[in-house]
Amino acid sequence: MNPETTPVTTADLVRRAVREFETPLVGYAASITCDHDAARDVVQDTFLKLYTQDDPARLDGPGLKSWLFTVCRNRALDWLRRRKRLVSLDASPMDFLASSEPDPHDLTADGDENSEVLRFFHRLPDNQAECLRLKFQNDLSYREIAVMTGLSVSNVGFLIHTGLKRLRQLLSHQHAGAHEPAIRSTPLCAAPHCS
Amino acid sequence: MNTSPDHPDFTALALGEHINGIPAQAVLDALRTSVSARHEADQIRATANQLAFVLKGQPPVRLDDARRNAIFNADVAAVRARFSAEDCAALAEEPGPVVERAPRTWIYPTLAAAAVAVAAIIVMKFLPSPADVQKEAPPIATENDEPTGRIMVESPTPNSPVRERNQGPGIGPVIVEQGVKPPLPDKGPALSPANEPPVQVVKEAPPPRPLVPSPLVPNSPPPESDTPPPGISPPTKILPGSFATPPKTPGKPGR
Repeated sequence: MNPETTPVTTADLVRRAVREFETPLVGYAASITCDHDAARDVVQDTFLKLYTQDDPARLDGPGLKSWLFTVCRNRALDWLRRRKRLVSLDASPMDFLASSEPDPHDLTADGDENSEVLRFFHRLPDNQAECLRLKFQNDLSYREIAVMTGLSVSNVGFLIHTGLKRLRQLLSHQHAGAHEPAIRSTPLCAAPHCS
Repeated sequence: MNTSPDHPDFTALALGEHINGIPAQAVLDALRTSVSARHEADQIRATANQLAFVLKGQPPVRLDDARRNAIFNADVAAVRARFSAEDCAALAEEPGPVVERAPRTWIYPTLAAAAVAVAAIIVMKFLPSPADVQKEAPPIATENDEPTGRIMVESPTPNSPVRERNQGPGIGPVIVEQGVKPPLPDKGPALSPANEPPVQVVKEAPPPRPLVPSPLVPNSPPPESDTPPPGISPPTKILPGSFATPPKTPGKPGR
């Protein structure tokens, strides 16, 4: 759609955004909330927030993707904060401590290389995993990730470099049969089922 | 640009990212010439492709129809009102900006320094300097000067200055002259007792003279004469013409 020839309406922008970014946004929100229904609510609010934009033509372009992911991330983090406040009233803090038992995700891993990659990816620190997900799952550039997360481009590059290097080390340790070094990050949502 | 394979810039270029919008020629040359750099770049790309394949291969999660219809058929005014209310609530929840105040320990030293500075300015401005004091001092009295009602007290030692004492308010300033003894008039104007200013005799106390050997000092000789021992000045002598009041006789203490 060319904004110079055809005036962009908000409804058109919303339809195009839903068609193109529905699935990656829900997946990204689910990676933060660890809850599919909550992720759907977050993405629905993200698309609805497009209606509040006074100048939809400003977002009709490459900036739409960054805008949608930024809003989705902020709303997912807001949902997480509200949920932590609610949970903290009726749950013991001991419920959210990492268990020493093996992760169920690890037990279900069938041993092939892709499962290993996913298993090790879930063990990376949150900031590295988020940058890697935005880069390789959602095809965002370093600059777009920096705008979304509020980090600098160099910091994003460092996080991606460190995450990839860590993954390679873990995979090489796994291939060599050595015991993998124990790394466990604190998940964003701190829920027992989300590691 | 760092061309080391273990550097974020190298990883970024191996992934096709442009650092600062300009492809780094040094890293690209290193990739072409160095076998190890090329191998490292291939390893990075392989891991990245594998991770992208795994992440993109996850089962897609989509919106349900109800949510999708709610998005497409949304009432724009209601949506705007809702998000406006949410923004207001978020602003209300946010704590206000915390203003960091410097500790106020500097106030007291500053006030003290200011007070000292003001005091120094006042002293320098209003108090006369020693040169001004000498300049403004009245001339030394001569023989033709009228007596001013001062009492001249003879110095106990020959070389000490003659001392004058003012005998009341409104009489001239104190003049100290070294070794000069002003002559007294033969017949001065008689002062009636009513006009007399109150006179106070300045008299030095006589040195104590031990009459008996001191019990504290063993073998101390008794005094042989009335002459004071060396180092003790004789009692002050009141010059003629001065006004002295008779010493009070001890009696009953008054009320």
